[in-house]
Amino acid sequence: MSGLFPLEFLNEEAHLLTGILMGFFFGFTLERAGFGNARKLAAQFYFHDMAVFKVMFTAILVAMVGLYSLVAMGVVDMSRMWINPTFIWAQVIGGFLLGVGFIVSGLCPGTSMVSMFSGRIDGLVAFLGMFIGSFVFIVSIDWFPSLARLYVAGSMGTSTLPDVLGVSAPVLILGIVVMAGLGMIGAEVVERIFQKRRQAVELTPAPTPRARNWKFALTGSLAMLVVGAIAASPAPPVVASVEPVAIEPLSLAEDLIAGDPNLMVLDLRSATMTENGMVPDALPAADRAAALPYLQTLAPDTRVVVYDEVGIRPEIPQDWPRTLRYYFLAGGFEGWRTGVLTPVEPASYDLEHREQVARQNQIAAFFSGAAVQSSAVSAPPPVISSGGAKKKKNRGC
Amino acid sequence: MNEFTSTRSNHLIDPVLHAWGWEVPIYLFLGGMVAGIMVLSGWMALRRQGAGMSSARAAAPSRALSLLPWASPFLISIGMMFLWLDLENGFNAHRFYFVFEPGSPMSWGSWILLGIYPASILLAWTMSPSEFREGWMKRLSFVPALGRIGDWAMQHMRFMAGANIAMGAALGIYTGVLLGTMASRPLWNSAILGPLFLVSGISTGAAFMLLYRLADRERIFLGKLDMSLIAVELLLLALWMIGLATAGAASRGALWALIGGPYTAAFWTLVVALGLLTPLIGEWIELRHGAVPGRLPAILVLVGGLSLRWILVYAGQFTSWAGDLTATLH
Amino acid sequence: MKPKSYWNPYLAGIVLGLVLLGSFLIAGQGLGGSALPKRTIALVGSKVAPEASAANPVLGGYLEDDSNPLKNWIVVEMIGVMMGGFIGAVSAGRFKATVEKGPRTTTKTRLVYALIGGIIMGFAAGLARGCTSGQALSGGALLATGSWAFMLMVFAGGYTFAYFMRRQWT
Repeated sequence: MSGLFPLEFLNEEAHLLTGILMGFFFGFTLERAGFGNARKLAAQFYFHDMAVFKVMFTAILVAMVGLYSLVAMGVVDMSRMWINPTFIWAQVIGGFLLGVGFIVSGLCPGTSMVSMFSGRIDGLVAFLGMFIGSFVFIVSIDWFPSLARLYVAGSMGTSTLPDVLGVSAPVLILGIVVMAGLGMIGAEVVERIFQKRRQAVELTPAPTPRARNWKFALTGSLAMLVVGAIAASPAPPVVASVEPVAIEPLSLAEDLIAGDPNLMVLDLRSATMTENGMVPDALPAADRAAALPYLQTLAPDTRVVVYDEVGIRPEIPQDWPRTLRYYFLAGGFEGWRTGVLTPVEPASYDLEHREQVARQNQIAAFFSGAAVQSSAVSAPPPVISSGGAKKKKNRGC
Repeated sequence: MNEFTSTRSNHLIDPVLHAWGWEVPIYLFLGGMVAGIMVLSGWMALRRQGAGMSSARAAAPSRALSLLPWASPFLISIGMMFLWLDLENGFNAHRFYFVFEPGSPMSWGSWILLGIYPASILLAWTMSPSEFREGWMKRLSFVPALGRIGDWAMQHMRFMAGANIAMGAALGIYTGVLLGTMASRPLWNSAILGPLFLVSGISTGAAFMLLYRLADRERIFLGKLDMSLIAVELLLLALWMIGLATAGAASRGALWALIGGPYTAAFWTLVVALGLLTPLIGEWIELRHGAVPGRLPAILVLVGGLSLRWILVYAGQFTSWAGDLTATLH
Repeated sequence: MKPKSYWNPYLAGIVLGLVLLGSFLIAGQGLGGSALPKRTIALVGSKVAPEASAANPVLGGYLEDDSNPLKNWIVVEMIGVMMGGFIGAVSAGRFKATVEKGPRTTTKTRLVYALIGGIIMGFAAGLARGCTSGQALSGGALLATGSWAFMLMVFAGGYTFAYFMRRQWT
């Protein structure tokens, strides 16, 4: 638990109440930006008024640079942040459709509410339309299996651009700031070109503040470059204790059978204990310092499962890489022995339960041989090799 | 003659905690709104009479305003339908009228409801536009008694107006007292609930009237009145909560449902922020700039009024004298 | 009262960015704009057809823990948006019951298109699990891969169909 933010609340209700405050400022700002007016929003798509682009990207830059700077300073704990999961095909097609709906109605979902509460009847109608559209989607996903497949197509879990592009976040942010800055300059040029046939949208600030626009854009970009550069500079290492998460023996067994390449098991017990058996593929790590060079070769986000005899939550040494994810085996080796190696009897006639039992016994049969084998091997067994031979299960959710 | 008598409402003893369903808050909402319409139309009738005496030519009311009193008997009928839906033994409802129990608010309520029909219909008659009255007089001429009653009401307009204000106030207070005398629910066990529901009811009544095509000066009058009523309502809500907070462990536990418990977000969002503060600030800004109050603040007031009753009925049943232990533990 | 001018777009963007940042810091999530319809349908669905709703891939997620699906941060935030929009419009002297439309179209046409557009957006926001606020703005600031794809596609969709809609707006 590192980082002060996001704030933690006493209960869900207190958390919910912050929503009304943030929403108020959101709605107020949208209204003052002119986004309660469908004509102003639609003008974006005819190059008459690029306010949608300018406001949206300025906001993204401010929030992005601010957030990642705070993360670099160790104030924000990103693991507690809700990041939109990626379902790439659903989002690509949904995004395109939303763009179509945007130009047809002149409003997007959030701004339709602002428009409605500025008294605009078209906003009210669009907002009601969203209820119909949502209902149509919810019903059609039951009726058309292809839509249900599209809804989950291209699932990548929580995926961020730095992971996908293989660029570090600060570099990417600097790139986005530069590109958005160029985009804004472009937007100003485009606006000027189309100004001749500009359909004056009621109350758009008159062309005079255009000079101010340049200053704003320039100062803003510079400020963000500075903040971004600070964020990109090596931040003081965040010294925080890592709390390993518990993993159930059966779940670990399944992962071992699946041959997850990003999985590493460490046995923290002394050599006398390991002679009575180890988790297959586990690396003896009674001397924690000796395991360090090995850990440093692992790819980021590799799951490292440690275990002792009885499953006490272990301390993760300060010098172990923070890029890895640490787990401890619930119940320790004892839990492994009783939970995985020991066959069980079905306790009820429930079909699901019986299937579970059957699966557990398969696992038990699989590993009881392997456990004997690995105890005989004194040298550290290769971590990945034996699992790799098994057929990989596609575990995409 | 109580529909539901229990001082031990605790899910360990009574498995049904939410004995009152969604029908009751709607009934309370419509009842409060009718109370508001009756009080306001009675008051506006009196004002008009006063103005008629002082100035030679009092400004004629808009057609919508003269017809609005007719909403009272219709809305109260719909409300009573919901109440009847909530009663387990709907067919026994007529028994309320065979006795009068001074100690039972439900008995009071059923008699108030009985008085509301003649009072509101007669006032609506006297306030209707003259061509409307003449048209119906012709159609109903086959019952001469009706004509005589109508004439009598026209001659006693001040009395009718006063009767409507009194009956409306009684109805408004009754909707709160109905909850307030339920000693088994600490959240409702407060004397402030009656005035709170009355003020809220008049406010929703004004909001309901604002939905129609009124003349500008009528809108401004109702808008200003609505603002004062909302301010008073906020004050009463604060008093009610302070009262609960200082009354003892059970009451504090009951209040917890609204300040930390499961109804916190709903109460502060829908009732206080959306239903009271937003229309208050919005109408204040509009009136300050000389704009005529529109329909949106009125809709928000109606949403807030319904939410207040909805949340109070459900949150009240969530809390109980025995339940406060679990409540304070959180 | 003469309506006030709109804010300079860069200033509005900075304020909006700070609001979004505040939302990240305080609530641990970004802003949204399309949860209310979906979750309202979930609430009604759970009362009218509980089994079908729980089995639905969209609604099932909202009904998992048996609590009221409207008890959600984004839903509360959307009520705040309504309040903010209202107070913002009233205090700028811009509150007016009217229809925004281009000079070449009728009110009726405009309202029909607003309804059709709203329906398309409701469908799209359901499919993409969010809208311009929840995906493009919030997810964009968090550098979420799908959100950036979504954002680019919104502009693609808008510009593609802008030609067909020109009578409505210009």
